[in-house]
Amino acid sequence: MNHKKWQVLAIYIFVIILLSVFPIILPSFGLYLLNEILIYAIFSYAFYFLFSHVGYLSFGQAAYFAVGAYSVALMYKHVSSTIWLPFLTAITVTFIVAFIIGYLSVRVTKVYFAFLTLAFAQMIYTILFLWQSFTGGDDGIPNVPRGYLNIYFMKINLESAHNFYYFTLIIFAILIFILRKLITSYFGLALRSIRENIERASFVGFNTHRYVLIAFIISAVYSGIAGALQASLAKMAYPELSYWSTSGEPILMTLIGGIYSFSGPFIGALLYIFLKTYLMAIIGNWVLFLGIVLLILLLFFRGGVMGFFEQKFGIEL
Amino acid sequence: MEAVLFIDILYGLSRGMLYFLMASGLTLTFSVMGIINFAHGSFVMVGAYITWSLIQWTGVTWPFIAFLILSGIIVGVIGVWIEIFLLRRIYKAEQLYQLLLTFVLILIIDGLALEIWGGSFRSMVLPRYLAGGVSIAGRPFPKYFLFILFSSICIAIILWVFLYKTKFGKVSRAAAMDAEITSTLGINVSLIYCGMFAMGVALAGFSGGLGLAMSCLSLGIGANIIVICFAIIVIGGMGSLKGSLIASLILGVFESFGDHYFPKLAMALPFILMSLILIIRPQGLFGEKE
Amino acid sequence: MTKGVKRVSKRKRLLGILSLVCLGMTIGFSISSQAEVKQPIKIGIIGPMTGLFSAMGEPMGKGALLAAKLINEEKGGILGRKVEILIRDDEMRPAISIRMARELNKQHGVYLFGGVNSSANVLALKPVMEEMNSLIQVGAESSKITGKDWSPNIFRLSYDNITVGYAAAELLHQKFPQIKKWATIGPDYEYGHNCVEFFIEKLKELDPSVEVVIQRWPKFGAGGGYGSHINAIMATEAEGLFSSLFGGDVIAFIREAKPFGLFNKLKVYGNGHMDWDNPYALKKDMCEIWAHELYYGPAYNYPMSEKFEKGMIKTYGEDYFKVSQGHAMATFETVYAYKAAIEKAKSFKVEDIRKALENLTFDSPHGKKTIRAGDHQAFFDIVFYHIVPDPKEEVGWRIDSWTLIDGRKYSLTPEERRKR
Repeated sequence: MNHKKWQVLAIYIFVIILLSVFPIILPSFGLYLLNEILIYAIFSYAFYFLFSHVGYLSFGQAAYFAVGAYSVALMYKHVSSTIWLPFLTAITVTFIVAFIIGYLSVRVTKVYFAFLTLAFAQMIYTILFLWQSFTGGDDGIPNVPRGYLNIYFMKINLESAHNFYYFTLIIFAILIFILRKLITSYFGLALRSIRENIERASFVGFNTHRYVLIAFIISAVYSGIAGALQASLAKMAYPELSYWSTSGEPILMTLIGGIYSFSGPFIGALLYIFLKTYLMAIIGNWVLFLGIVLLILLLFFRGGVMGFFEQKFGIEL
Repeated sequence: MEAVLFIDILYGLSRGMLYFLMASGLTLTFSVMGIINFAHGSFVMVGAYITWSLIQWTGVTWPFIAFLILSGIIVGVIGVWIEIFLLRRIYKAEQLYQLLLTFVLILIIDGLALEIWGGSFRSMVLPRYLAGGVSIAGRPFPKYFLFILFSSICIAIILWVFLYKTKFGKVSRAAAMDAEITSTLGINVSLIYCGMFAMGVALAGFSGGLGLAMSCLSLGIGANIIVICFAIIVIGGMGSLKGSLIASLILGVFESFGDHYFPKLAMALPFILMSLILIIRPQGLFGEKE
Repeated sequence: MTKGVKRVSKRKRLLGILSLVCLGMTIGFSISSQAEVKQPIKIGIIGPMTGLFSAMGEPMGKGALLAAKLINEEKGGILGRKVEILIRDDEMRPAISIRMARELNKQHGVYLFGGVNSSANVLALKPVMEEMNSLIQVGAESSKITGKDWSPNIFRLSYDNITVGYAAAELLHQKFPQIKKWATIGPDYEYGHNCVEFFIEKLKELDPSVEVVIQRWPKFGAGGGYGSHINAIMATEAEGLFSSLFGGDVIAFIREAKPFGLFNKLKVYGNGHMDWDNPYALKKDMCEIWAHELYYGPAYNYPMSEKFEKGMIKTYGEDYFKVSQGHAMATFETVYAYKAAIEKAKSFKVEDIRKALENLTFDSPHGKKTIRAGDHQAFFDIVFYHIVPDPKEEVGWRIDSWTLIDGRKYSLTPEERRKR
């Protein structure tokens, strides 16, 4: 078991090193794209955690993505320009919103849970859209800066694409590490038992509602952090971030990458964004093409790309 | 003042009945097959476009209802094709995969619609006897909305008769309750699934033509439609047609009033109701407790 | 034990494959960035090519392509370099506009942009354009673009909603001075509100005795369900209606309003902006309307107008031209504006082009157009058309008259604009 663990750890470190080295060789559009991929990977991991390890399908994670984005945008606009406060605000606000929505949502069965999360996300979309004086309405909040990072005496300007990329990469690495630890811990085991059979899990003595709520909040906070990063990257927050189609993207990404694989969300985000960006440049009607590609994946490669790899090479990533 | 109120209610009822027609297909496929068809809104859109194309090709010579029924049938045939070649492969898989498949279907259907019809706005030509207004409470009221009200009530009655009085209908309801046992009775459940799915999307197609004849056809309307349909089936109760009917009427009338008296709230209303129901009474107004 | 050994080598294989994939990606990225050809001068057009607003986006691409074709054929390009148009779809979504702009800039070396007719997208692109040191000409109508949120990198050749609202008010007041009671309806978002607000502002200035009896704000993009709004307007004494609805919304509104008898009650109905494809979609269901569009052939009779119209008809057909002339013209003149600026500056450098664009006077299908340096807004004669239903016409309506209004009247100074 230990041998295997070290092998997997080695692969992760290898990937992180690769990602750190890319900026040197990539042209700057590629860097922007990779940055976006990392952000959407975090977003996808949020979905993956809640779905693959707790068994709850959420259609409303866009709500937290949007809340994170707007928190950062509004904090920069009205309060500060260093990065700590806006991000902490994003995490806190997302936590609170997720607590409220989660508390109400985890009581219901899984199918209704999906719809309830969807309903809440649409409500948040409506609020963002209509509350023009505060959220900028349908125009959203433009000109979101990327902030400064104050570490001891160093002041790092994150406006530079390279600096912001490394910032994202560090956050990504930390978040993935935490998630991995959570999944392999007893907490993760408890969650998976809830996924298998929630009734039996409660018979064993778990307060299943509480466990699911905690997992839900973790998932939401991850989405919020992703949203906060996205707002700074794209320099904009707007209501569509909370629309249900935004919730669909991490689902599709995780599906492509592999719902049962730990690296699934990352690989999925990579492939999806890559595919979508370059498809758009080549084909006019990329919607149809993307749909067909995804259909083939769904029908024949249900474990996603990593699932396919795992079958062929017999290891878990 | 009363006249205004009355017309608002009448208008709301016609919108509500239209919503019911749209949502009924979704309710059917869910109650019998357990599939939540995300692409349902896209089928509604396609039905509308097919109706438009049929009218373009033949001129407004046939009775209007014939166009609607014909596009419903065409969409139903498309549904059969999709059920046989796509859905069947994933019945054994987790529910997530069924959802995802229908989600991906949205991309494919919308993409194909863009290819076939292009992005321009379209408007349907109505026959003379449906255009114009009649006098109700001393004011003109569009005949077409009365037509919507009338034809959706008819379809609702036909649907009810079909499900509760015919053999196929009864057998379908049995399959909805327990597919395994029903199949042991020698009934071809896969045929029922196919037929139900086809019916569900045929209803969607019909309601698309019916509903959009008075407004504007454009791509992307599917997204808004599916959200309303979800709200309806949740509020009414996931497998209950009666629930969908009541929920649709409530939403339709509230939308009409809301636009008049409390517009900002009206936009969020379906989701507020949806959330309230899910928290207080998750099975919906008429659904069965799990 | 053999199983263990097999596993290890399989893992190595996987590792090897992963490395190859990463290497391949790197090479791919690098190659595609080298593929940037130095010679042609590229202009990027970003707009909604798919989805709900593709009827606006597609002509944008075609208009620019036509301009490029004409310039390349007749003049051999701009200062010896051929013009190349790159088109990208942004689905009307700001984040995608940003991504497309970056892709065009970094992968293809584009630093001149056009298209983008959605104000939210323009505002989102503002920091991006400044960061990429690129220029963009936009068609979006928000007054903020040349006002509060002005940017040295953004230019606008078409009008903003202050001018459109004011011009509409003046026109309708001139034609119908006796109408005192007005209703308004518009989509419930910033553009919808602003357009109506400016109309009323000017109307009240011209005639303080006018009264706004009712204002309705249906959901943006509802595409239907206007019954209760129409009903509410019918219940008032309104004689005139001004609407800022557009696209699918205005089509649906007109279709529902007609059998409600709204147009029998109203004496005048004005719409802020109405794309040409709307009356062509409505056909016999069209009502009487006064509206503004960016371009209407018969109103403009300049050499460039003819060139544009002839080119569009020859390349895309008369039917397509009629329906898309507005949005196609926007990008057509964008390309010509860049040409004029580059020729004036005799340089392809961004700084020089920017300087040249300020105070540039060039030939557009709208006539001689001047871009004001203070706020990067262009001024020209704006056209309002008057459509009347006509059963004798095959399309069901005809253009009864059109009016040219000098937009310079409402120019305000750049300082006043910065406040809005």
